[in-house]
Amino acid sequence: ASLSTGSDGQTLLFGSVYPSGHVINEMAIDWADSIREETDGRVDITIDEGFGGEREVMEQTSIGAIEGTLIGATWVLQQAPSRYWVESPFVFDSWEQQRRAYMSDYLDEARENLKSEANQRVVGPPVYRGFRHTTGNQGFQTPSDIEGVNIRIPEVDPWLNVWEGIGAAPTTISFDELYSSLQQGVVDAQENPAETVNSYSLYEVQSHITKTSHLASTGWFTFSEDAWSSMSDDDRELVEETLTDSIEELSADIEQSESEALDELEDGGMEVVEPDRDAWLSAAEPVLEELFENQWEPSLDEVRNI
Amino acid sequence: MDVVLIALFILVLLALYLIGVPVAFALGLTSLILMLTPMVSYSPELVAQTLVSGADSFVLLAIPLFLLTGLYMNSFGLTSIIFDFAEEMIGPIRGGIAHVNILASILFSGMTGTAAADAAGLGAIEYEAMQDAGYEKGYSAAVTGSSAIIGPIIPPSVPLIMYGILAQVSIGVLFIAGIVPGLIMGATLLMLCTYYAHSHGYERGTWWSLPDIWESFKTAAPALGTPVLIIGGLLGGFFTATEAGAVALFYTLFVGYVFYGGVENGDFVETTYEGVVTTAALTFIVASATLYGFLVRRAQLPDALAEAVIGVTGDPTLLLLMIVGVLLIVGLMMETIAAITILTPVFLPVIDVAGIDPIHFGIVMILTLMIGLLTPPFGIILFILEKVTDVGLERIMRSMVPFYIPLLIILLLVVVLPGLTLWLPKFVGLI
Amino acid sequence: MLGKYQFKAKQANRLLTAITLGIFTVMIAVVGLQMLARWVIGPLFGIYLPWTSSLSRLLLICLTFVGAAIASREREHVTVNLLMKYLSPRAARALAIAQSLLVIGFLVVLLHGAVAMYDLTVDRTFGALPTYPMLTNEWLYVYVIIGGILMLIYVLRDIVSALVGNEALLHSETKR
Ligand code: NA
Ligand code: NA
Repeated sequence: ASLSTGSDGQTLLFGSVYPSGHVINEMAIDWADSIREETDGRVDITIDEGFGGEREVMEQTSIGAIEGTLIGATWVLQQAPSRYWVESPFVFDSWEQQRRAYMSDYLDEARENLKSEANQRVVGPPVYRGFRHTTGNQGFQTPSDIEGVNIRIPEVDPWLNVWEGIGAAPTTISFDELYSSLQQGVVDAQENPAETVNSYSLYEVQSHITKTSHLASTGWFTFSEDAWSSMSDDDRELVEETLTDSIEELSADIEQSESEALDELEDGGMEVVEPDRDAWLSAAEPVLEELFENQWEPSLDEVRNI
Repeated sequence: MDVVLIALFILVLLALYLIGVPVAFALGLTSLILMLTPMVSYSPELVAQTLVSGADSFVLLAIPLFLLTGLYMNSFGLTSIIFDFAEEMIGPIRGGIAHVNILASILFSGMTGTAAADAAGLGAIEYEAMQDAGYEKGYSAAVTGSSAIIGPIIPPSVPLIMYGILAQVSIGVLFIAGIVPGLIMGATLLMLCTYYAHSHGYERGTWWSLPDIWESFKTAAPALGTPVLIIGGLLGGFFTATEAGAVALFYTLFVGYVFYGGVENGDFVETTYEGVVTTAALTFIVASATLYGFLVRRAQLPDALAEAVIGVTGDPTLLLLMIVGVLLIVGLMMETIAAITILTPVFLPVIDVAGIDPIHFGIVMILTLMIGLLTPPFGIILFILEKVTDVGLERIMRSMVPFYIPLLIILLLVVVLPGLTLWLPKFVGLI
Repeated sequence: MLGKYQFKAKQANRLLTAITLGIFTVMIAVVGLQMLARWVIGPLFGIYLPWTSSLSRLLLICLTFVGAAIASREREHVTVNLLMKYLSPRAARALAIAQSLLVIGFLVVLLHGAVAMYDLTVDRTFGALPTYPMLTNEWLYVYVIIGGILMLIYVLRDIVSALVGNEALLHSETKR
């Protein structure tokens, strides 16, 4: 293994926040192999994990310690917090709508700030990582079912606000401690894509999965500006094109495997609950309106009409 | 190329250790020296960024919590109360005081997380008691030292917390996995002492007296509640491993003031201060080990090492034995926390490829490093014993030799029988 | 003259100790509060305080760097001191100075990096904490800078005592 800063066309090291063997990493490794071949080794990308969470790898990219990242949507929260509705629960009707929002002008500010303040750019469309659903030891048909239930929510302020606004009792517990906390009953519920519930065996410690589909998680590739500008125009074009293709393909695969994951969960003994989604959306509306009033722009109406 | 790089990473660090640069700074300086080679670019920002993100961890909080619990136990005089209770329990068994020494360590290890706390706090009391009973000095020190290393195997455990953070595995599961190997260790040491007592014709203690056992139990009960609370709370789902530390701490303060009349040894603020300083010294090492770990990964050393090792053998047990060999050698020279922080990121990808369970590996690693605490040239327990007893270092080391054999046999068993570690967490449904 | 400065240094040291103990106490109280929120305050009053784990993490970062300075002051950093006891007093003194210079080298780089990272992270939120002063991301680096400067001061003190031949320093015990 060689190592260098990559500015002279050698190994570009990308820090992934996804665990080893994750589908996004697998896709990225295949894509990196094909790019290496097609550019005769001019663009040599290595995907590796273990550099830390989203904040860490983004900071490492911006200071030139690594050349890019595979991350979630924290960059929006960091660079344009007023647009974080794009990755918040119960805002959108469908993934298509959320995807359109990501590609709209509303996100330009976040993309620009990422370049100017964090010295990196998002390349390609979002990876669709699946709808987040809610698991528990009961179904949550309507929002009133989650009233006062201890639910583990990641440490994302707007998410905590929304769940609290609906009436749940959100608690932040680190992902490492999630399985044991559910097993032991430190918390009673959690929300994640079906794939995560499956691969981390959360079905062993939760009896019901309610398809709240409250938001689709997205994954992103960023390139440091230095690495990006060190490539020729042709290479850049090739990189962007092939990455876009790979992401579209992976997203389609994930959409497919999502229903398979739900089937597997059902086979594993979990009860899959179809909730009254309109009731959930309207229960979230007051707190969303409040968030748009105080922190977000433009407005819930405009966003839902994208 | 890789060989040179690995040599740089390890030799520079060892050289800095040798000339007495503190571990945390040695880790940072080694990283700086690597940044000055053409292989990695020099970046002060990376130094600051990785140090901060290394200290940014909720689970890391468990360290000050358990550390302070142990310190307060000593200052409330709970250590001698636990010792008295163990003495009543052992009664007339031949060579009793040696057994008391071990039993007290097992009980105490359910409350504190470091071998040093056991050896330094309880150890002095245990050694004195064995001296009063007329035991040979070297033997007394050896029993005290070898039973002290049970502490970090049985939960709670500061080394296991460190490993759990670096390996990103559940600390709760690690804690539960340590119980069986820890108890086996205790039982083996008890058997060794029985053999000694018979071959040396040691005296029996006084016969069991139920009223006396009951009296000492009544006195010790509030203190003995700590391990019950910690393990029960973890299994019963009231709190996470980190929070268990807070519960243990608040509980110790409560019983210390309500049942045991407050501080007996030293000063409350001084004790807290000692806890703060030790905590910062440890978390600062974790912080700079994160920088070192980043460069290890940036240089893609684990992958190279994994490839090399897997090339030698793909058999998990053989591989684990090889790693144990390396750990034993490292454990001879290096402080536990430093060894964990350096070697966990290096070995984790290797055991991942070989299909070894990281929980199993964690217990094997800590057990190996604990044995290293008892061996020269860098056996911290040996140094502590030299300080708290009146025995010279050479004599302690000579008396320790017979204890290495059973400890190494236990280590071997834990390596080849993953069930010893994994059965209990599976049985209670944690994995 | 000198006495007056020593008095001031003593006061500053005492203040540093008090602040660190304060941070530590609040940190432990916040962990307690988190459990209290889950089991008592939450169910009774519907208040769940989801910022508690972010705050305890922030306080631990602060404690790590300010506390590391105290560890420098007390010479309580974990050290593998193998060579020192075999050296002549003169050689030991030279080695102690060499150690200190190496540590200074590291601290200077750390401080340089912390200032740069401060600029880079201004006004970014930290976990679920609000954007109050001292709680945003760049403040983490302020804590690094404070700790780093204090450590520099204590290492310089070590060099001075090695130069004037303070034996106690050279034979300080190996620490756990
Ligand atoms: Na223990
Ligand atoms: Na003992």
